[in-house]
Amino acid sequence: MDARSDYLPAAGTLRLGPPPFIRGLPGMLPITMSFSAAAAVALAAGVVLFGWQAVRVAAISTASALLLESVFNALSGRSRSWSESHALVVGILLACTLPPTVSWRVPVTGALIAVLVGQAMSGGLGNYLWHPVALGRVFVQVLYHEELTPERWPVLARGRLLWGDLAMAEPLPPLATWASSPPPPGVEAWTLTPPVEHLRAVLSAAPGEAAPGAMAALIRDLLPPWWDTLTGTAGGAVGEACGLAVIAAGLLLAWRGFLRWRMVLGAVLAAALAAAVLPVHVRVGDGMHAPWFPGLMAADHAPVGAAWIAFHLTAGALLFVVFILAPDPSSSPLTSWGHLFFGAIIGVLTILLRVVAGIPADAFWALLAANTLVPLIDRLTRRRVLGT
Amino acid sequence: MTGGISLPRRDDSTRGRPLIDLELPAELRVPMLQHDGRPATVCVDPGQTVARGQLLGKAEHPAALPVLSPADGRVLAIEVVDTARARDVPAVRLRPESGGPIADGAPAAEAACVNDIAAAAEAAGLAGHARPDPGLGNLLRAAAGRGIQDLVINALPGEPMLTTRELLLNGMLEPVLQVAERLHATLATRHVWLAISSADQALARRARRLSLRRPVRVAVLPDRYPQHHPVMLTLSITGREVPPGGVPQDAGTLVLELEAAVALAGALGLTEEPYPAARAVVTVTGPAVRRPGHYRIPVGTSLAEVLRRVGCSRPVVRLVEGGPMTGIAVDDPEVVVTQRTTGILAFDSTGDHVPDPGPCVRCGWCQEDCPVGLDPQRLLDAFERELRQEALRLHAEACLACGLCSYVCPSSLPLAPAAGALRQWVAARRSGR
Ligand code: SF4
Ligand code: SF4
Repeated sequence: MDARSDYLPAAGTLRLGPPPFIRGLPGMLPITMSFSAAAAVALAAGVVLFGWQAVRVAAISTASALLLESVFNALSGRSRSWSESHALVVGILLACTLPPTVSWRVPVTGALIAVLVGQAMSGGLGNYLWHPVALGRVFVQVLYHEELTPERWPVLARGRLLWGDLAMAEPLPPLATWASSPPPPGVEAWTLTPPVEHLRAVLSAAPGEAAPGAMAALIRDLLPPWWDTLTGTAGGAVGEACGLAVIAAGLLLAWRGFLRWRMVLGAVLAAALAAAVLPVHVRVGDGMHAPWFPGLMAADHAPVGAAWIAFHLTAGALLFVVFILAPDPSSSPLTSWGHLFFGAIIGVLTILLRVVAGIPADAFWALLAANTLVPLIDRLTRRRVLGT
Repeated sequence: MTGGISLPRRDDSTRGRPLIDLELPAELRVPMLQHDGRPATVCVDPGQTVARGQLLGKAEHPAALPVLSPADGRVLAIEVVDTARARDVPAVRLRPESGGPIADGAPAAEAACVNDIAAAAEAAGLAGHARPDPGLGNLLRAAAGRGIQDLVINALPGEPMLTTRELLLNGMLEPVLQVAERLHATLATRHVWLAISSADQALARRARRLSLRRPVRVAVLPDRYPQHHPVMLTLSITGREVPPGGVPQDAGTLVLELEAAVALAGALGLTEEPYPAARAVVTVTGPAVRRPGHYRIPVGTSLAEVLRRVGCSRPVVRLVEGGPMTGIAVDDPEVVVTQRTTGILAFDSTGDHVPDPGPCVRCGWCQEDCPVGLDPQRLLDAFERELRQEALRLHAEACLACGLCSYVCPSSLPLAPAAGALRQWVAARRSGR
């Protein structure tokens, strides 16, 4: 027999322990790695759209998150391995939610809240109720409202992507679109009105105009088309602007098994439905006019309602929240029905806060509210044990 | 079935390999207990020569099974051995000697009623391969006593790495169908099913063809772990739910494992194997095994001896009897093979990487994939904080010990052991009342 006898085990040297002896995943690393990779995809689109300013925000945010985590770990006497560090993800994700023009104070404060309050003091990965990044984001929204909701925000112009400088920006001419406007010499970026401001314009339509026809026309003429909000050329926060990149990041998570399709379905359907149904308060003359079912509006036979819905789905932080923040395992429900409800709550609340209440950072507030409901959702959607 | 996952079959390196008879080793230590009952009483003396099929141990208790000699040979000593499932079992040490007279095979039993079949199974010393395992005879008698509507022959491959079932079914399809037919007639079941995996379509077609003019129905089920578990089979085939902590018989179903059906065919004279309890058909595999494959191994052979025969290519750090999901890690390679041994896995240090546990990240995979709808993470919590009432409330006794929760947990938490411990605790408490 050719077996080498020293390969044969001796009694007492064998490893014991309970089954299973094979594992599906080689440890914790995949979770933080997957989410870091997804965040990096969204960030990469931001770097293309906003140039080095996006890199600046990301660098400040990530560095402060990592620094704060190691300081906290040192002070609390905990030593965490790199693979367990969640601060890298938090840092990149936080940068993604900020406009490229913010001062250094904003990412530092955000990281402080996200890492210390949202994560470390809430017990770390697996224990926190609220998504740390959303927590940090709404906190800086309250503190630095002006910086985070500017009247105009920049995006690099056509042909100047990646290498352009946001500082050399001119306002985009009215009624011009990004795609149809090559920049004149000396101009490297355009400043545009943020979609929220557009919305405010729609919601406070000029006095005297007759609604709802006028409102339909306003939607058609003022709101950026859905492909601008989807590709990111309508501007926005570093990682949120480009919806396509966000969806790609979501697909990456889906491939690793962290994106729950029911959650995405619930959120998108609920948001579309809410946008189609919820009344839009329009000021007409001295009175308020609130037509229900804006999704059915039409102006000159153009399906304005569809544009309205597409705008709400692609503008702002909704896609980013749904595809990248909400799937965070620690702060989302456990069961598949729970995922559906959770997504639906985020979708409806986002539109409600945006259209009815007009609150900035709507999707983040919606996510935090849905996070709060997770224990309840988990209790309500618990699986029945077989045979009981 | 909700829950469960399709496990990767990347480690099934033995699929399609032929069945090889492992030569008789220099010594056999035949254990007197191979089921979950009482050990048989040794009825031979040291120095005595015995023939293959001769009685080594008598069943003096209703919960005991007789043990037949797996080989011709001479009794060296009466001693104790360990099996994977039991320690310090009385055993007969035997030196096989060839050339002795060949004992007559068991007479082909004319089994007219279920008691005849059960008696034949008992006389052959057959284990029931059930969990818990009262022995095949007792299993059949108990089922007949309770009234069974559905009989399921379980030929699903089950755990990854173990591939003997396909081999067994391919070679034994006809006798297995005959056994199914006889049991159907004598147990007066309404339906009799043969459960086959959808992974092997050719086999499923053959089974369908062969069962055409028979009462046996072929149930082709998806290759999803743990679909092979009797509780899951009962649910998928009959739609009836086994109560937590119960057995399929509680839901009017008898699940007979393929190994038991094949052995019973032997005991009834339907196959060429007159002493089916003498040898086990085993998948020997794992990253440290030089010649992985399917081996027919005499009962009483030590795992060390098996490893010597198949060869080791790397130092063995973990030796498992059974499958990788629910098998038992043994501490001593001198543990012996019993009728119920289905797999022997030898892992080297790189193939045996079970990562250190981390914090729960609340991903929900454990409860999403749990086949019976338990929440393993809460069970672990209840176990660690010794919340006994919580364990009762969460129905811990429903756990099938399938190991899937531990398998999927990205933080490598010991979920299945905790669930298993609570299940045993609840079961003990229930039976104590
Ligand atoms: S071992 Fe028990 S708790 Fe874990 S998945 Fe299997 S049945 Fe569920
Ligand atoms: S699989 Fe592990 S990490 Fe995920 S919820 Fe269950 S115990 Fe927690």
